[in-house]
Amino acid sequence: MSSSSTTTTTTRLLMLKASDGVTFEVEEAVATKLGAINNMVEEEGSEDLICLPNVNGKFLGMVLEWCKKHANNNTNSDKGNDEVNKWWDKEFVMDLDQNTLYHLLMAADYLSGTELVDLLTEKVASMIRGKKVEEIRETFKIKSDFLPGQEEEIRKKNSWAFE
Amino acid sequence: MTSFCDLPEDMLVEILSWLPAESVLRFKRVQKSWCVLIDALVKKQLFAAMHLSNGKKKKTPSLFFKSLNAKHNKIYQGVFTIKKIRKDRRGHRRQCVIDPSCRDKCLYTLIRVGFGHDPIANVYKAVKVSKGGGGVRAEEKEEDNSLEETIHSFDMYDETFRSIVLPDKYYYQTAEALETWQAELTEWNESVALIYYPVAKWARTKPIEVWAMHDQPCESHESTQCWTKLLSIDPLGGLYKIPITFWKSDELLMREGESELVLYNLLTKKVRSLHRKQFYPGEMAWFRAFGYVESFVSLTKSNNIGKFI
Repeated sequence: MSSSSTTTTTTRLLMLKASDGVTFEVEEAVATKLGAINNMVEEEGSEDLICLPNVNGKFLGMVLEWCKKHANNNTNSDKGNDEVNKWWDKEFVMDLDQNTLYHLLMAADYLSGTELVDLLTEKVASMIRGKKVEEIRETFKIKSDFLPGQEEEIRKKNSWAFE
Repeated sequence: MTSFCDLPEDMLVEILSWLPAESVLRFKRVQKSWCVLIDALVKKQLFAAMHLSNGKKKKTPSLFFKSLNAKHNKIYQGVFTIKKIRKDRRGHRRQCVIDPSCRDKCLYTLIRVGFGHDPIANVYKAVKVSKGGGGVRAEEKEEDNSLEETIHSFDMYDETFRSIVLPDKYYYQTAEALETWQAELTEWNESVALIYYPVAKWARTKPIEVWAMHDQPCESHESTQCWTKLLSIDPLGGLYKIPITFWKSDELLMREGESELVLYNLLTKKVRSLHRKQFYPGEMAWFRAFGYVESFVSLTKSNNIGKFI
């Protein structure tokens, strides 16, 4: 009898409701990988339904998938598991397109998933590292607003970085 | 369809903090707002700290190789090299540290300059060593006809040099012993490590040893209080290899013969060939490699260090 009560407290389930009404039932230990949810749980205590009006169901699902993996593997944190997590993270971000990356990043930031923000910003960085300025403009869909000559001036000041 | 241009500024800052310093500066040319942002960022201590810590976290740490030959110093542009080489006024090629936070080019010659972080005052310091040892490096000195090796450490907080005795086993009194063994000072898993390896032909069946220095460099003359032996690596596959430095936490970069670089994995005990290149005769003996991270930490501001360099 006492054992059943311990299991209910350790595997408390939370309902997360996304902006489009999609709900996710997740274990507390998984959801609290996100700083924002952790704060809500600590502050409000008993509330089991959490509404997240800024995140759409598709991306919330992906964020929770990441949390689940990292919460599970955290229980026995030896070096081998760390490697497994790294591989999983690599696969997770491998084929993400710009649109998905953008929304995931915004969701992770909003939910204060610091480690996930790190993973995603590093991914974006890896996509633009070593690219030419023109290619960056293309990737970010922005136009140069420098006056003629200004760009050349910056290039001269930092000439070693452009070699 | 949204794109990266909609990202808020703090996210863009996070992304930039993962990039090599050169890319960050190059991207000033993307747009006026980027130029203003990056100019402000490289002057901020917080961004410098974030960039430095991310650089250390990166899954693929960089190594740059340096090798010398008798005629001229040169940097061997090896498999991982991204180090800048500049020519000085006389046309000599020099290795440089480039400080991106100042407007004009500020170049410092890397030779005999050490960097460190003083955790108590929370400032970064650069130390120029004018003579003898410095930072933490091995030095040989001559005293009463006997050769002795000591290591000098530099305390980043109180700015004093201390000398540290070597592990007992290697406390040499004779020149012959020095010719038998060689020590390479390096960094491994965030502690100072000493790799001892045999050089004399008759000793080449002896194992390579790795000793780690305890966290607090001690002033004790008892070497057992300063050093712990961590590893003993038997000659690999009967072939004589010379250790160079650690690569990540569990691989040791070594050279074999006059033309090959290999990586030895400490866990699997397997050796994999990295690179083959025909070196000048004897050049390989001068081969050195360093682990390094790039940083925006300024050498000129707040520390008044710039004037000493």
